[in-house]
Amino acid sequence: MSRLARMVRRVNVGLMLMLLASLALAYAVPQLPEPLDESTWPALLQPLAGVIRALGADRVFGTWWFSALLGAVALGSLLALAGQSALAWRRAFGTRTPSGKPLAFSRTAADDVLARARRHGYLVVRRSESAVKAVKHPWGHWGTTLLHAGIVIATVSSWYVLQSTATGVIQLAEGETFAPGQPWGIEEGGALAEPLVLPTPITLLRSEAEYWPDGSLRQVRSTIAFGAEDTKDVATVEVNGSVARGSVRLYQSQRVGSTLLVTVEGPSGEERVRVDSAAPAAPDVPSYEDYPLADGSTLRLKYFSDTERVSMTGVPEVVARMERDGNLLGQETLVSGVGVAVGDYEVTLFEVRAWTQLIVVSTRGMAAVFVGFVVILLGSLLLYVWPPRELFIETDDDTAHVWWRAWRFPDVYSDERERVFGAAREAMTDD
Amino acid sequence: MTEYLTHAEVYLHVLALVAYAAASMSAIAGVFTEKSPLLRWADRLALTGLVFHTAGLVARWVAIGHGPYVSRYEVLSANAWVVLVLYLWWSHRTELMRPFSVVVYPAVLLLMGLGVYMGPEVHQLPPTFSGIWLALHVAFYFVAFSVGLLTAAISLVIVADKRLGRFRARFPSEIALDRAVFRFAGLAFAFWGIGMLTGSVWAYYSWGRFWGWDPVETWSLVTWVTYGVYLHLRRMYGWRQRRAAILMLVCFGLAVGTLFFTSLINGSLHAVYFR
Repeated sequence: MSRLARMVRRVNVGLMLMLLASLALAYAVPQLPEPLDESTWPALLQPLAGVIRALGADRVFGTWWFSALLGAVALGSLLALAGQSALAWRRAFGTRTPSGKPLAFSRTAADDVLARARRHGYLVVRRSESAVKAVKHPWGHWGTTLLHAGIVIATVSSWYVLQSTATGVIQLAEGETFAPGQPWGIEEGGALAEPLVLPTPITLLRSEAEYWPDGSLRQVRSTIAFGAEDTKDVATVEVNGSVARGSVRLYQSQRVGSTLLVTVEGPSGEERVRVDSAAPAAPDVPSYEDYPLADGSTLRLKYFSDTERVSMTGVPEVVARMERDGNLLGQETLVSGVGVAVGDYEVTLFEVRAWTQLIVVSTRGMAAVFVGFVVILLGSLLLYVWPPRELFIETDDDTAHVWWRAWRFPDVYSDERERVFGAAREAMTDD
Repeated sequence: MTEYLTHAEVYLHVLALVAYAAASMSAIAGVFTEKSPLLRWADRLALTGLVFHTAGLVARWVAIGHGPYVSRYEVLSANAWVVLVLYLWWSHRTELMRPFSVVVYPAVLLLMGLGVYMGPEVHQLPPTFSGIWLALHVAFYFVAFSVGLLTAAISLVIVADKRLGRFRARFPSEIALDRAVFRFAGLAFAFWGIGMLTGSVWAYYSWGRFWGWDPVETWSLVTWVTYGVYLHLRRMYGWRQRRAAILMLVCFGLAVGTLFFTSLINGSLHAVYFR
C-alpha cells in the first residue's frame, strides 16, 4: 500500500497536467451536444475528425478515460491525504526534541520567555518536569490535511452530483397541466441518474415577467398548482427561487413568451393553430414564429410586445403572414376575436396566454459539496492565516534550552520570535 | 438623490484616479531616487485615493441598487479597491511588502483607468444576479485575483532580479520573496477554489445545474489546477525562485484571461453581463 501511495504521489503533478490537457482539448474541440456537423468545426480540426471521434475528444467529459483520470486524481489526493494526516499527527502530538541548535537561558529567563509567549497567544500543549511545549495556533498543523480533504470531498461529491442529476424541461402555457409520465421537452441525465418522474401533476396558473426600463429581463415568476385540479397546493417559482416537491426541485427558466391560439380557415377547411412565440428582445423588435399548415402553406406570426413600441408589457400586436413556396400570399395585423382576411385565408386570433419554461431537477449529493466547501475554507485559513509556531523548553539543573520554530513562513514571524524572547536574550548563557 | 449620487461617484472615481496616479509616480520616484519620504508620500496619496474610491463605490451602490459586480467598470474598480486594501493591510503587517508599492500602485491605477475608459454606464441586473452565493462567489474571486496580483508583483521582482541593478537592493532577499510568493499562491489557490465552488452553488440555484463547462468555468478550473501544479512543484519538486516565479506569472496570466477575456466569448453565460 505504501509503495502504491509513494508511486501515486510521485505522479500527482503528472495527473494534474493530464487534467489540464484534457480541459484544453475540451475547449479546442466543439463538445457535444453542439452540432454534429464537422463542417462547422474550425478548419484545423476538420481533417482530424476521425481521430477526434475515436478518442472521444468531442465529448471529453462523458468519456471513460476522463472519469478514470478524475478517479486517479482523487486517489492520488486521498493517498497524499493519508500521508499528510500522519505528518500532522506527529507534529501535533510528537514528543521528540526539535533538531537545530537551541538558545540557552537561565531557568528564570526561560520562565520569562514562556510567560511572554503565553501573553502572545501560545498555549501550553505539553508539560513535564523537564520540558514544556507551547504552541500558537496548534490546530494549524491540520491545515494541509483539511485543505486536501476538502478538495477530495468537493471533487468526488461534484462528480457524484453530475452523474446522479436528472434534468427535464417543460414548456407550459397558463392553464396547462403537465402530468407524471408525460414526455419531457428536453431530458438529460448522468450515468447514475434515476428516471425523472414528477410526483404529482403540475399546472401553470400564472406566468409573469418583469422588465427593467431598458427592456432587459428583470425577473420571471410562475404560480404553480401541484396535484389534481381541486388542489390547494399552490407555490411560486422564480429565477433564483426554486421550489421542491418530493424528490424533485423546480427552477424557473428565463425563457418566456406568449402562446397565440389562432384559427385559420382556408380553401381546404379550418385548422386550429397554437404558436408559442418567444418574448421579443426589445419593445421595438419583433419575434417571429412559423407554423406549417396542412395544405403546404406557412403561417408566420410576427409579435410585438407593445403596439406603441415602448413597453415590454404593453398591448401586444400580432401580424399574420401567409406564404407558400416562398411567395407572399398576404399579410395583416390581427385583432383579437375578429376574423381577418390574409390572402385566401381568414385568420382569427382568439386567445393570447403567457407561456414559460420550467426546469425540473432531481439530484443527490449537494450537501457533500457544501461540506467540502466549508472544509476547504477551514483548511486554507489554518494553513495560510494561522500557521503554528512552537516554543520548546527543555531544562536541566540551572540551564534551559529553548527552541522556537514556525512550521511555515518563519521570516514572516521573525518579529514575533523577537517579541517572545524580548529582554530574556540578555540573560542568555554561553552554553 | 439617485442622479446626484450617480454623478458624484464618477467625480469620486476620477479623484481617486488622480490620487493613485500621484501615488504611483511618488512610489516610482521613491524607488529610483532611493528617498524614503517619497515612498511615505506614495502611501499617503494611495490612502487618500482609497477614501475617494470607497466613497465612489458606496455612492454608486446606493444609486443603482446593486454591488460592483455587473459591468466592466464596476468589476475593475472593485478589483482595484480590493488589491489596494489587501496591499495596505499586508504592508502594514510586514515590512516585506512595503517596497512593492512601486508595482501595486501603478497596477491599481491601470485597473481603475481601464474601468473608467470602459465607461460608467449602468447595466441592469439580470434575474439570476441575486442571493448570498453570488455575493460570496464574486467576493472570493475579487480576493483571489487581488492576492494573485500581489503574488505576480513579487514574482516580477524575482524574475527581473539583476536587471533591476542597484534598485534590487530596495527589495528583500530572493529567498524571502520566494517564500512570500509560495504563501500568497496558496491563498490565491484557496480563494479561487472557494470562488469556483460558491459559483457552482449559485449556478445550481439559478439554473438548476451545477457545472456546465461554460468557457469561464473551464478556464477557471484550468487556472485553479495550474495554481495547484505550482504549489506541488514548489513544495515537492524543489522548484524555487526564478523558475517558480515564471510559473506563477503564467498562473496570473491565466487568471487575467479567465476573468477578463473568456467572459467575452459569445457562448459563455458570463457574456450576458461582461460584454
